This record gives sequence, C-alpha cells and structure tokens, in this order.
Amino acid sequence: MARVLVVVPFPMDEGNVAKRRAQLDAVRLGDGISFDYRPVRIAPANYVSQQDSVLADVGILEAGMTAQAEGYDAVCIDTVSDSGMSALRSVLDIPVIGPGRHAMLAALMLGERFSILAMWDRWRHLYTKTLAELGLQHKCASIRSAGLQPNNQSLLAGKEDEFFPALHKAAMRCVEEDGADVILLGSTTMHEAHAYLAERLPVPIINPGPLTYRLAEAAIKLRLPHSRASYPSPSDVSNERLSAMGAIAQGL
Amino acid sequence: MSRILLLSPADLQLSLDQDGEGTFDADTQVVHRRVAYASCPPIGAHDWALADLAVLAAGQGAQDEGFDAVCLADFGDFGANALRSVLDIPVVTAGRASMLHALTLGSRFTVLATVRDRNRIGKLVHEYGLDHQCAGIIVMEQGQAMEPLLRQAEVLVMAPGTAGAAGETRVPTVDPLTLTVKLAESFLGLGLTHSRVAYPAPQVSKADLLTALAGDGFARGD
Repeated sequence: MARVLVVVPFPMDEGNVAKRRAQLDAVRLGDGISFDYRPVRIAPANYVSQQDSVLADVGILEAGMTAQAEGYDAVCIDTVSDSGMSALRSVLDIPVIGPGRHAMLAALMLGERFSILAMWDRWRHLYTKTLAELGLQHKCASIRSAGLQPNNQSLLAGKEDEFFPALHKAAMRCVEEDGADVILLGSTTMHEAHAYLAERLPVPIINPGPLTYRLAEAAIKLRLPHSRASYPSPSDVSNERLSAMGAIAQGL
Repeated sequence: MSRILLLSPADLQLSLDQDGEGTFDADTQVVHRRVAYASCPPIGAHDWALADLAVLAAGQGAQDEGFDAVCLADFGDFGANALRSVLDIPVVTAGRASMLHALTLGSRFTVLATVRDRNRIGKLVHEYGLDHQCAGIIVMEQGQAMEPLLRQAEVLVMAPGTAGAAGETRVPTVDPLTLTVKLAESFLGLGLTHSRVAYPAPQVSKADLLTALAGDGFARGD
C-alpha cells in the first residue's frame, strides 16, 4: 500500500481537515494508495503577501520534512501557491507534488492557453511566482478573480448561492474575453465549486488538489521523483531547529 | 474499466510493458496498434504530413470503438491535434506530455533522441513554447558514450530508440510510453479531456475520406 502525506497549509481542527479530505471524492484513484492529511503548525493568517509566503514555506517544510522517514511514498501540498514544495524537494527523495506547477503543466496537455480563476486579487502574486519559475507567462491567458473573500477553514460552505455564480461569471470572462481554453481553479480551497463549474463551462477546468493525488500515484508507480540537480540537498537538514519552531508556533 | 488505444509507429518496435508490478490501474486495458506511415522515417515536412494523416485515420474511430482515451507513442506527436479535434476522449501524446511532465520534476529537460526524431523534436519544442526550458536535444550515435553528455542534465526525456542509453543515472528519466498511459489514466480518473475551444470540431467530418486515403496503412496489433 502506497502512502501519501497531504500537507494542509493552515492549522485546523479535524472537522475542517475533513473539508480538505473531501477532495478525494473528486477523483477515481488506482489501487493500493492511501492519503493522510496533516495541518501545519507554522502558518500565516492567509496568503496575501511575501511575509506570508516565507511563513508558508517554513511551515510546510516543517510539516513534511520527516515524511520519508515516516514511511510515506509521496507528499502532496494542499495549496496552489506550491509553498514549501522546493524546500521539501531539497530534503526528500520521494515525490513532492505541488498543485500550482502541476496544474499549469497539465493544462498545457489539454489546451494551448490557460486562465487562473482566483477568489480574490490578493492571490495574484502566488501565480505570477510559479509562472515566472516555469517561464510560461506566455501560456497564461489571464489571472482573474471573482472578488470574493475566501475562508481557508470553512471554505465555501453556506456561500454557494453567492459564490458559485460569481466564479462562473469570472470564468466565462476568462474564456470569452481573455482567450483561455483551459481554466485552473486558483486554490484547493475552491474545490467545492469544481463540479458546478465543470458542468457549466465550455472548457476543461482543473481541480488542482485531486490532480495532485493522481500525479502522486503516477510518480510513485513510475518511480519518477524530482531532479536532485534542480533541487540540491542542503549541507545539513535543520530538523531539530524546524521542529522547535513548530512547537513555538503551536504554543502561541 | 478504462480502455486505452495506444498507437505506435510501425517503423519502431515499441512495446508497452504491461507488467505485473502494478504500474497501471488493475482495470486498465491497453490495446496496442501499429501505424505505418507512407513515408518513413519521418525526418521532414513531407513525411510529417503523411504521418499526420496516417495517425488521424488510425485513431479517428477510437471513441466509436468504445475506447476511453488514446495515447500516441510517437514522440513526433503526429496527428495529435487533428485527433483532438474529432474526439472527445483524451488524446495523450508522447512528445508533449513527456516534455511538460519533465518540468514537474526539474527546471529544464534534456531530450535524448535518435536522428529519426531530431528535427521534429526541435520543431515541437519551439511550437510548445519550451525553448527556454529545453537544455538540449542530444542525438544518440552508435558507439558513442552517452554518460558524459548526460551528466549535467536535470531531467532526461528518452525519445524512442534510446532506452538504456543513459546507463545507470540518478537523473530522473522520463519514459514517454508508460508516461502517456499513466497520464491517460489520470485524466480519466479526474474526468478531464482536452479543450474543445483549443481543438474545435470540424464542421464536416471527413472520416470516410481519411480512411480511404490511409488505405491499409495501419496494421492492427491488438
């Protein structure tokens, strides 16, 4: 049985972790694979500035750095920001799957230009960073938001009637005005809107969290981890220091 | 049950190792057919036009035959966009999928190829907008030691005919054939297929004409 650790980018109770775990319902998986969800201990309040990005990188690194030693076969990161992905890749030999990078590349297997559909504009910096790293800005038709304030704990619950149509309207503008032929959900927290949008849009829409589950399975079965040349190992892994940081954050 | 049609070029002896190690989902069934191109090896535009036609003719009926996805094993991605225009099921192609997937593993990729595919791969890299991400296309020559050339690679993509040429290496090595089938499974598991906006359907189907033009050009190997 292959085991995958999903790192959840905010501290949260079991009830809200279940809302993250519900992403498994959106994908048919192969045999012999299971997923554990682990919230981070170190996190920003949300992901709207570079300060937040630093905390997110450290928090996700801390939560996932022992995954290989714990016997996991892969790590998925439950944020399209791909926070902590590079850092984890530098210390782990098992596959580490970031939904932002993987969704953009998968989109280009389904179409020629994609748009990123965000809840609000304050996530824009997350996408421009990954696009710049990939050098694929010319493949991005647009980054559009629906102007909706997200909640990283309760997600979209109770706001479906307001949020789903607003997201659909923004997605249609991506297609009709910006020339997108594939849409990416800009956050794994938007997964509850995926089925609604997929039924109504004239183009494919990628649900990035479930995509990572399938690609983790592919990476495990193909024995295809990341490149050590691209993600060199540190001279010394600061396990103890990072664990101490996690304990400090948890105690605050 | 996922039924996947795998089309491979008849001039290459590609075979999918449907091993017992569980690489693929237990309910995946791959049907392998070989497609003969009218002009082979496909090293230039004349050959490519005829290869497009042959692959399109060989795959256009896949959906009606009950297949859930089509995989194209030729790294040249011949006929891929045309097939997407006439099929609603996913069409996963060795060249495009391998190079994009390589970028999930590292910043830049190196393609190891034979002279058969060198020009075509260069064209595809440019068309896919990956000039900056492709570190190079290394053409394998008989008797040449490849390891020194490949030592600096971040990710290796092994075009057909180069299997084993990299020797023992710690560099991630993408095998396009197994990757395409695995990605097809992934898209099916997620309910995804290609964009109809990117690949619009023709107003008038020419399936019969295509079949007639291709003649007996493709041999069934299932």
